[in-house]
Amino acid sequence: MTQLTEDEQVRVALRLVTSPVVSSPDLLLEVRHRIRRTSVRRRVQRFGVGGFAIAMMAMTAVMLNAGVTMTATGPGLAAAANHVLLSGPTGGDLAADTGFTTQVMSTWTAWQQGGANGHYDDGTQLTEQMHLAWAGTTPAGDAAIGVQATVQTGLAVTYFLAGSAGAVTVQGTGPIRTPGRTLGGVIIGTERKVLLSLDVGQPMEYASSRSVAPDGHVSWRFASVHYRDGAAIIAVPTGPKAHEMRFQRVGLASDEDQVYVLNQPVSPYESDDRRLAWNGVFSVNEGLPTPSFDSLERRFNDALYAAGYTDPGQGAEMESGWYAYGRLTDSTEMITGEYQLDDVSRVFAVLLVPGGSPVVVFGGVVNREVDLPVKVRLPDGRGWVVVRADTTITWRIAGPGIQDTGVGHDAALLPGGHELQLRLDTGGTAPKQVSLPA
Amino acid sequence: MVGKDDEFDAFVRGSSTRLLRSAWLLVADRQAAEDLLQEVLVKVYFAWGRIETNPEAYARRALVRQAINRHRYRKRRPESTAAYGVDRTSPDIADSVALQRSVIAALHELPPKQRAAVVLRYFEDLSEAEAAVLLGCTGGTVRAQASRGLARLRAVLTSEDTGDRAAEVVC
Repeated sequence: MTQLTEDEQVRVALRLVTSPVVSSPDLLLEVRHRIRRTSVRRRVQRFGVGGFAIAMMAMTAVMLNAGVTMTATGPGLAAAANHVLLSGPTGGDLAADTGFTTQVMSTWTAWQQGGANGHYDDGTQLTEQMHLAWAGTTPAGDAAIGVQATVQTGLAVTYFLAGSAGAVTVQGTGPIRTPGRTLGGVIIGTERKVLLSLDVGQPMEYASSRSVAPDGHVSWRFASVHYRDGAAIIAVPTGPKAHEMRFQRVGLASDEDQVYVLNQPVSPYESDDRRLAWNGVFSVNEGLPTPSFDSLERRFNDALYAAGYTDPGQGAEMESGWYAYGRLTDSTEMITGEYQLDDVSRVFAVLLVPGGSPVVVFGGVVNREVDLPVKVRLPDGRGWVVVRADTTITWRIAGPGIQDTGVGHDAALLPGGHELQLRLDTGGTAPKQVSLPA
Repeated sequence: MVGKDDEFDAFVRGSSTRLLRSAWLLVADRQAAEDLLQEVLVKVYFAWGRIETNPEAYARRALVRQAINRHRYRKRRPESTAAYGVDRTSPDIADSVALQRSVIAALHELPPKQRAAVVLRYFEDLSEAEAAVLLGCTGGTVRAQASRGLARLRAVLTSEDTGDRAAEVVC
């Protein structure tokens, strides 16, 4: 028998576990579909059993965090096993309905003995009997929430719902993956109009829609979640238009802990592509080497993310297919590109001051019909960035006589403080004339 | 004459399974891997004219970067899909589900760059220098990242006794 080294064993194991994985016959179709609608990103996660969406909540939970460790036999498990959620009285108006609660426990037992078999697929091992933390009436039907200790992560939560025929089904379940995290809530029922959330002792808030300000800034308006008797029943907006909602711990410092749920089992993000059909990197400085497309893309997107112009967790986004790059006279690097978050694409210029924080300048909504689709006025009188692919851009300061002139290909950096006249020559039709104000 | 679309289709048909396997290890989640691969393939399509030689290498680089960036943008968001990420549709997998479960769970616990280093070194069989280029770091960093990740995987494989099983398969 060949003796494998440990490194080789890992190599073999990686091949072994991936060998049954083959790409779907529909992959090309799916990719083609995405290309057609160019709605590239689908970051929506769908969780749970039967395609139901579960919101997983990251919390620095005072209660849940105490002593929970990743070991099977350490003090963390004991702490989790003694947790109030595992031993407190069952809340909800159906807590005393033994017929329903027995049915829930039977469903759980059958589910565990079936597909779950005492584990989640990531290896989380469930221990002991599930404790019913809540059982009550909801607009989606009679529901229940069970809590169970796990070997690895402390607690796992399972959500149940009785269907119209009376059968109870598991709607979603999940472990606490690391200390301080727990399952926040689950959308229950086929109509997806109820978000059920277990009270784990943390104030929570909820937002049902996102807004994008005219300047491109993304925001969510949150309202407090009111828990009653151990759980909150939150009405999910319904309607023909699918959209995303947010659910998070109160006092969150950033959006990194936000989680989201969908009101429909389909991605709401399939907007038409409004971006400019340009490709590549355009330099505004003749002869200046340009960074790679990937590098520009990364720095541009990082800056937009940090400045609140993107929306992590969104279902789709369309990144720029082009970037204009250059250096200002004070060595500040400039990257201009576009970004489509919703139904329109927006132009931004990112200024990277050496040693400073990036500055993002909003350059307006893309209009593909105008002669000069990208014109961004830089702050502090530092001029304009103008872009039009496959075009020779000639400019001069307006006024009697030619005072200054310049030429750029695809993109140009123009001086501030003067009214400017531009000539856009695509080589085909008659050149276009465009003015920029002082 | 073969056009861009035909070339791209042939590329997807020929490379998608290999890329999907890498993606799966990189994100430790089957559904997310499929999603990631689709994202990357769309990107490859739009960049087709700029890709001079090896589209699979380009796609692999994009996979790695996208996997790391995806995690960076959503680093505090629980990745619960791992709980449902094991493919149970194939009969082959049913036999090795425990190994799959253990390895994927162990990978899932690794920081994304560490995970990427392990995948590039021990699945893609890239050299430290090649992995360093893809990860945008030095060879020493790759060595350190891969070593830590490997230690974790070894621990899992040893505890599950799957190392022996891996050995049996190739004997």
